Amino acid sequence: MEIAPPPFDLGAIAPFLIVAVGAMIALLADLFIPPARRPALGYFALGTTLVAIGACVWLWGGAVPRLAFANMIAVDRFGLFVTIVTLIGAALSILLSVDFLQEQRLGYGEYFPLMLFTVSGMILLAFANDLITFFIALEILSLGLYILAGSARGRAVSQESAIKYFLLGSFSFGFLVYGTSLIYGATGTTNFTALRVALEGSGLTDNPLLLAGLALVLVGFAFKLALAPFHMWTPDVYSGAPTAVTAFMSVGTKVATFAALLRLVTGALPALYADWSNALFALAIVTMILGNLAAITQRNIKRMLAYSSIGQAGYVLVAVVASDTTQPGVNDAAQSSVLFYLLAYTFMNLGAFAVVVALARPDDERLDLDRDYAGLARRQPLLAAAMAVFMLSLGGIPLTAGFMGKLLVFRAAIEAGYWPLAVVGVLTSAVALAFYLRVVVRMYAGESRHAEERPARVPVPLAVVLAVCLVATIQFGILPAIPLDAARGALTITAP
Amino acid sequence: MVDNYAIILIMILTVLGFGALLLSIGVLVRPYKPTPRKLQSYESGVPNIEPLKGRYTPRFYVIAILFVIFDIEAIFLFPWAVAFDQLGLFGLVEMVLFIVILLIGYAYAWRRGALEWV
Amino acid sequence: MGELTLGHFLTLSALLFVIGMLGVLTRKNILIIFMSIELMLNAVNVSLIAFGRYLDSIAGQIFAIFVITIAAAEAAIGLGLILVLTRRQDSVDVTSVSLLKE
Repeated sequence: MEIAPPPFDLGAIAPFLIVAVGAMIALLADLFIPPARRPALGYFALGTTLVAIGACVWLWGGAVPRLAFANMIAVDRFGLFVTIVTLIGAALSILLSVDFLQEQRLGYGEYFPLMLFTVSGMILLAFANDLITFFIALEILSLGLYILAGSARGRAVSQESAIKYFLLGSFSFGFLVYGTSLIYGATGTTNFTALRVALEGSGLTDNPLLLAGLALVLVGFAFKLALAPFHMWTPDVYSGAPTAVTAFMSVGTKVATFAALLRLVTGALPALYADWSNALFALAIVTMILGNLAAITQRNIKRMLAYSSIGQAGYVLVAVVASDTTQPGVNDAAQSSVLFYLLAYTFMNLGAFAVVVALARPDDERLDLDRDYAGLARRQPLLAAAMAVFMLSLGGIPLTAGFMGKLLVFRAAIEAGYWPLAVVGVLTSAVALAFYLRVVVRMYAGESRHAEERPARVPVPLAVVLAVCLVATIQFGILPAIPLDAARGALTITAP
Repeated sequence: MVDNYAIILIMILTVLGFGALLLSIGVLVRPYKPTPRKLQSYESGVPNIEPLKGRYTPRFYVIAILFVIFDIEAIFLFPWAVAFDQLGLFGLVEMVLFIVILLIGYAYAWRRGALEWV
Repeated sequence: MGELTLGHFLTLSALLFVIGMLGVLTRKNILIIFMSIELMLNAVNVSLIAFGRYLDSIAGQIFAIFVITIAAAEAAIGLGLILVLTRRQDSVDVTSVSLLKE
């Protein structure tokens, strides 16, 4: 008897293949390149991500949505949009790293190959249409990040960050896998499309195994996305990891994991809407409140940005809660606002981290808000202005991408009838302004402690990152039509 | 039924014969110059009179870690081998790809010196 | 003594999972925490295999194989990180890893 192989549709996973093969080539090239030439690997990695973006654009115009590899992969515009956002985040992070690693004397090591492997995991996560693909993708991305977080081998904080990230990451992975196993046990399938069909109009929705599985999966997601009260690891890990790595993981991981969450709950488990929306509702409220309140007391800029990213995840979650597939209009508004918010968040958060990277000195990372950011505007007016824009955008001031994102998210929540979420969202955004504006005030009103020092030279790649983030942050705030249309065009989650 | 046990018997005999063959080749080929230290019982290369709290070289851990990684590939080889006839050329190509990817990792570990003994 | 049913396997798996979870939450030694995490993953394997058998579906076994693979990859990375850590501070106690706490 011959077992017929599944259709071998390599074109469908072109972006993943490009990045994964690029990672392997970079790994092998790493062995033969003299240490002085290592930055070249960074540009190779950058090229790989750009080619992968090209492949995404090519697929976007082609025959989508399509299922590939025995329905384990769903190539649709939703996945492609998320992949493009992830790849943009990765490309900017790579540009951010090239000079940072050299200046901080961190050594390149396996940095760029690892980054590419991680990105390949993120891409697979965005396309995963099966519980098995989903958790393998999640692990590819996590394993890479564990090592990247500890890539500053000479620094105790970096190793500590890696160990904490690893222990909590694998702990949460245990919950996630246990949850998926229970879902499989209750329904007899691991495929998202088949799950949806199996649950539609069946008596299974009250099955205790299924509900326990859902709860465990959501706990796993909450850990990975740093949603309160499962966020304890985030500030330590974000502040201990090298800044360029923090920038990358705060953006890429969130984008890809949110996409997977949205695909799982709306693509596979819409029948359980009442259950997961209630759970996420509670998580969203706690996350918005705790993340933003905790950020106020931080003096270290990386810790502050870590708590800020927790709060931001809360806002995205608001829109996920509102994704009720039984109301198509509401669902479209909610899902497109998730995509838009993730895109806006990528640019503004990476921009903020780029400024932190630009200020770092080899002997001192310059992370203290009071000491190092005071009076920055006088010494480095351009960097200070850029930081001000990113802070205002993260805070949700009009004419920035962050404002448009929040507006769309809260509008979707109100349309879906979740006005308490919108109220808490607006109130916590007001609280959040306290710490975002504090940075701006320090920069423009404070007295610099490093006045006699020569201002830091901003290397060209870093300047490019700053410029791209700045332009995108302002452009998406004033003219959100282009990304928003793309996000609306991306709302085809796995038609069977 | 009997045929099945015959296969197992042949398997056992093959394994034993193969082991005996390798060992006897070893006896014939290797030099034999015993010293007292060499005749001690083997403790991973560490003299076994030291106190228990002595340190081991991290090399052992590195080798162990690599072993875990490459050992686990077998978990995919077994089901593939069982279904080899049915999978045909497609399965062979897939498995070759899989092993090539592993070999890239192996080459990396080798070249980086992770396999050097001390 | 009755027959072994799915319930027995699921109970075993849940117990192992909880033992692992409690181990992670209460132990101080990183290696033990790590072993507890492995126990959690293997508890999942028990339930996956039981489901696969009970539902007569091969997916459970495939699932378990991938979980084992990932556990091995995790083990390699975890041991690597622990190795780097012990070279620095000669201890595998999590309470000694606390530079970042505030």
